[in-house]
Amino acid sequence: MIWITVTGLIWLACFGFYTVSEKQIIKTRTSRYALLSAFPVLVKLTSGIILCMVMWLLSAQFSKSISFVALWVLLSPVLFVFILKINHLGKKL
Amino acid sequence: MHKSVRQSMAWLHSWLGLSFGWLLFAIFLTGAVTYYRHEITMWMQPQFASMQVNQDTAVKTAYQYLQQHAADAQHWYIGVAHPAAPVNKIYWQTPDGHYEMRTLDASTGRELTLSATQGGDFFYNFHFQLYGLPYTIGRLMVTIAAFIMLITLISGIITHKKILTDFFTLRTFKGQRSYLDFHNVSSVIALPFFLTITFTGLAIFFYIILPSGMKKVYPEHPFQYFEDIQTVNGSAISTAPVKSNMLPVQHFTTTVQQHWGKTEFESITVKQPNTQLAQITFTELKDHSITRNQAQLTFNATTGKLLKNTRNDSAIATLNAGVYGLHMARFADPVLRLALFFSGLLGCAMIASGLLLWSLKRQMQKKSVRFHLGYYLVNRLNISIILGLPLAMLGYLYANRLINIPAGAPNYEIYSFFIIWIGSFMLACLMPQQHLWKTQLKVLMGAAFMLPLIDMYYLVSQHDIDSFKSYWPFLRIDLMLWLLALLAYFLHQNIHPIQQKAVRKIQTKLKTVQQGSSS
Repeated sequence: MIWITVTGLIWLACFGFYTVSEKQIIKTRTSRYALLSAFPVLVKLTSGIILCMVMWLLSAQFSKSISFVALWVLLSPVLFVFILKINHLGKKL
Repeated sequence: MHKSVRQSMAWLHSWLGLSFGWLLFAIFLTGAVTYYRHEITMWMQPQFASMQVNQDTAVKTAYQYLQQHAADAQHWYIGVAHPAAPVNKIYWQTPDGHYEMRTLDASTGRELTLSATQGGDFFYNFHFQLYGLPYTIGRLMVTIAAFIMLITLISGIITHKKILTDFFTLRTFKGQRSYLDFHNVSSVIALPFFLTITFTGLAIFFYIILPSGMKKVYPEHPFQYFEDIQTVNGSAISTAPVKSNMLPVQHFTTTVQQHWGKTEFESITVKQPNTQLAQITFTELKDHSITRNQAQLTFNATTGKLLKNTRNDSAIATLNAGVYGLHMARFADPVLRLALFFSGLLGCAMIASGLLLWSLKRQMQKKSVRFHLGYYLVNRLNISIILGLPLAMLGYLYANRLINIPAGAPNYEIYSFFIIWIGSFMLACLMPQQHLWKTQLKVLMGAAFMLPLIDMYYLVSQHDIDSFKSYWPFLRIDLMLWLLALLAYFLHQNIHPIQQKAVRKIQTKLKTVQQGSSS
């Protein structure tokens, strides 16, 4: 259960950072997430807090040192799948 | 001509990356696989899978064996059987200083004569000392490669000027641009992992590249460092060892469990067994931090008195343990291990895309169709590493299922590994450019798809499995192999062979140049 929650939260944080990223924010303004583009700093801050929450959740499972490492290690596969998804790899196949 | 810092770094990045990319790819791939070395060993020794482990019995039988066969040894080590490695591995140092090693059945304490297979340990050893080379040379080469990797990573970071802007950018199916994007994405998203793993890999072998410090402090026995960094010397005992009976091991296991509760042991060591100075140390299996500081308890083995902690807890010792701990990730539970394995594969993808990008760029810049030995070799080496190495690894597993190697016989599995790897290179050299990738991808796909089926047939025919539970240790590796087959299929079907693409572009370019000159 904890892994599903952690993966979901990392995905959410990635999404937050992505919507207000330098390249994407213009498109976000015309999408249904337009509200997010009005508060880019707040969105980035919230995404950062979500990542901290992930670490806190992981520290319930492991020691503090392992949870810090685990956060960075788990970020890679989630980010990779996220990047494939937002770049519509599936649609081009 | 003066170049900017970024241009110089780009030059350094591409040429160092090319020179060491093939070796680094092999180190990364075997390293990633090493996260599952116990599982691979179990896959390759099916008789292990059916063994039930009761650690109390395992400890008792190993202890009894050593009492019978090595009572006068200087030192005992028992690698206690646990579910991932269900046999006792014992070592002892004989009175004349030699080491003996045995593998024991954890239930009966019988010596096991296993086949000569090295299992997952082959990939592990290859990862850090390149099998077949003398240890020092192999480790030195890996250390230099790690150093180059660190330089390549740093120069890559400096070269990639839009790390944050292009963080989420991956323009797929757009030729050279896609390779660059993929190289950037795979590098950036696992950058903390790459930096950590490279730096810790380099730091582990510090004594190879910076031996003078160790030689200065330990002029006569430099490797005394490794003893000192792990354990603190107690007050020097001047009394000579006198024969004395040790307490039964059950006495200690009961006391340890009173301290730790029900837990699993990783190892038990006994110094100067069967003397009044005998010390027995229990180390817990579970690692609760990144610094490999599993709980330890040490007793006087003759009196049963609990001794003070002998672990070296100094800052430098903790840093040293952290370096090992972070690199080997023994703290990782299954999900984390899968993520680490994925990060390792991402490293392979980063190196492979960099190598392919180098090759593609040079072919695009080439203005003639004349044969160029350098490009030819780079292309062939690329394919024999990126596809040839996984093929060789599959060959290693195939050999295990198809050839029975008795104990003491030459290890044909390792021969198969190298023969197939060389075969892949030779095939690549003989193959015309346009068929290069598709041919080897077809072989890889077929081999990866068929192996689980052969494995199932083998296990059923040898009566090694009788239920899903007993099949699971094999199935988990088989599922990975099918994923590899799927990846090969994806590459075969959806990515146009890079060489073909480059050739087409060059031909178009040449036609344009020729038309321009004739008109």
